[in-house]
Amino acid sequence: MKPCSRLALLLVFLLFLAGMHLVSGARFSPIHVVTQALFDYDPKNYQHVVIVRQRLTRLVVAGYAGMVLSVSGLLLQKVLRNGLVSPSTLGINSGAITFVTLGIYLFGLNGAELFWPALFGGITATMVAFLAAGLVNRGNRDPLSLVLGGAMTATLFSAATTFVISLDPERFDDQMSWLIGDIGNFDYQPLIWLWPVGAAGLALALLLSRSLDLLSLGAEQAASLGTDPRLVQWASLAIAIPMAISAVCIVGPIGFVGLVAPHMTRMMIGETGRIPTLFCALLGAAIVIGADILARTLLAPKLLNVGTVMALCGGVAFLALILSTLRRRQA
Amino acid sequence: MTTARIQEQETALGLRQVSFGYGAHPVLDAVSFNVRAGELLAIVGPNGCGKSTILKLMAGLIRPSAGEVLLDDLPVASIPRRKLARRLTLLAQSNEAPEAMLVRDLVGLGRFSHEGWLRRDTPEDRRHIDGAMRRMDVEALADRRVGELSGGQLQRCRMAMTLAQDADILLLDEPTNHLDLKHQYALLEVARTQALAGRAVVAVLHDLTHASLHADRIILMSEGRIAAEGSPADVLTVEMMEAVYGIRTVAMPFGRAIVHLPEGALR
Repeated sequence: MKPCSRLALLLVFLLFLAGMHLVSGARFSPIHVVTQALFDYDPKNYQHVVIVRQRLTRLVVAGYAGMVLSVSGLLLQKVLRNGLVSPSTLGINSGAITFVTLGIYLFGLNGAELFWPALFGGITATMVAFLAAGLVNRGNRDPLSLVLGGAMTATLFSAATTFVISLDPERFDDQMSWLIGDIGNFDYQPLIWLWPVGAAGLALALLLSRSLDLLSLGAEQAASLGTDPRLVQWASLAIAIPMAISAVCIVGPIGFVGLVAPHMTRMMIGETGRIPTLFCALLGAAIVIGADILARTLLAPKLLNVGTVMALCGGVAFLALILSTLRRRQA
Repeated sequence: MTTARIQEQETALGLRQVSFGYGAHPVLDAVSFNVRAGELLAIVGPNGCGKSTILKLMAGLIRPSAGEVLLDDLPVASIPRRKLARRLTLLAQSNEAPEAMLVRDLVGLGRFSHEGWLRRDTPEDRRHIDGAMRRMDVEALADRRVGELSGGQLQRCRMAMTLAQDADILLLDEPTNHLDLKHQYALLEVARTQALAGRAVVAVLHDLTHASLHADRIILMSEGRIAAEGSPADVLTVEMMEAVYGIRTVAMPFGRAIVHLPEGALR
């Protein structure tokens, strides 16, 4: 099957999942009610209100978060030539969370304003991860040293977050679900301000994808094929970090997608050109939307956290990836 | 090709008093030579003599600490990468390659400098990709993933990528690495054909027999300087081997080829 048709197939699957997302919940809504709610909205109909004000907004938020986190992960994995890195395993998410809690505690920021401290935190965490990786350097370009650096960074910033919260726990009551990583009913509000970050990031990632293909041959070979490796590396980081941060600001730390969607993309469609980047974006959206369906229906009428569902899957996937890296090295 | 004919040909790339060093440790010391269109120039010498560094300087990947590398009177390191890539290509010494990439797409990366943002995979691109794959005998691998290839297969595909770039100057850093006997010679034959077609080919080679058999001209490096330069018969002498490699050899000519064997091995 051609890459284009696989992409089309994924799009159909994503639309199917989106439909599933809208009909399912604590109470099942028949399809005709959903279409009525979407195209002939009646604010006095309770079902309509649930479908549009709760499920649709959750759907959009979940799709956005999945898309930007997985494209961010894809960029990071390609530019660092390391299949174990992602916004969560580099500690970017944790760094952002720490600085957001600081922003709330010190300056009383909220909503989309938190993007700036979060971005600052993400950049700081990336630098700390690289620094720590340099210290534990297990020989040139061992993919594990950067992951160890990222793990240390994440631990460090989680501790800092806990400390900030402990200074004034009541103030963070409202943020509890966000801190674990969850999609709430009112999360669409920062998205109204932040979606351009994701849109611009995706567009730039598509423009860069060809140069990133070259970079996968090593910096010297990429340069002699006609691209400037330094420029591509910096540009990719400058796109990947704000993209991930824009998701963290909305839904908190959601791991797993950013790590796994790029791998699934490589397996399903390869890694050359722009189509895999688009595929990865759609796949990431599908994963988080799927996880949100599970979170809302597994223990219905009780809600689970999307972050919890994802973290459980993510831990297992991360272990599998590390084991396969180690095995390949022994071979 | 006779020496007289080579000398008539134009200079493709010129090194003028080029020095280079990492920190205080000098790697190259005031090296000058020209690369001419239509010749295969082999650079040989012991490990650490600066061969690969010369190639990197010629490709503009590093800047000389003194002197210049000139392409059309311009320092190569100052030419934008994309523009330079249409004139000059380097087959770097590395076996890094994305595992999930298809061989055909890998070879297609050679076309990057000819592509536009939306203009890709044109009939012209396809012609170059197909031609390069045919020359390197990797057509049968076209739909395989890079991760499934052996080291030798990957090296041939990378050479095909370099050919697809369609540049006038080819720099090859130990191109026969990972290759078996048949493909070593096949690759050097391709390099030779490129030179006969009017391109300038510079290859860093380990194997002196290869160099003697395929090169029009050889530069023998020793400790960052040119120890000898000229035709294979002029450069690959018993005296030079002893002076540069520190080993006494017996030279045995076979047609064009000159085989050096250590004296001790024959007792």
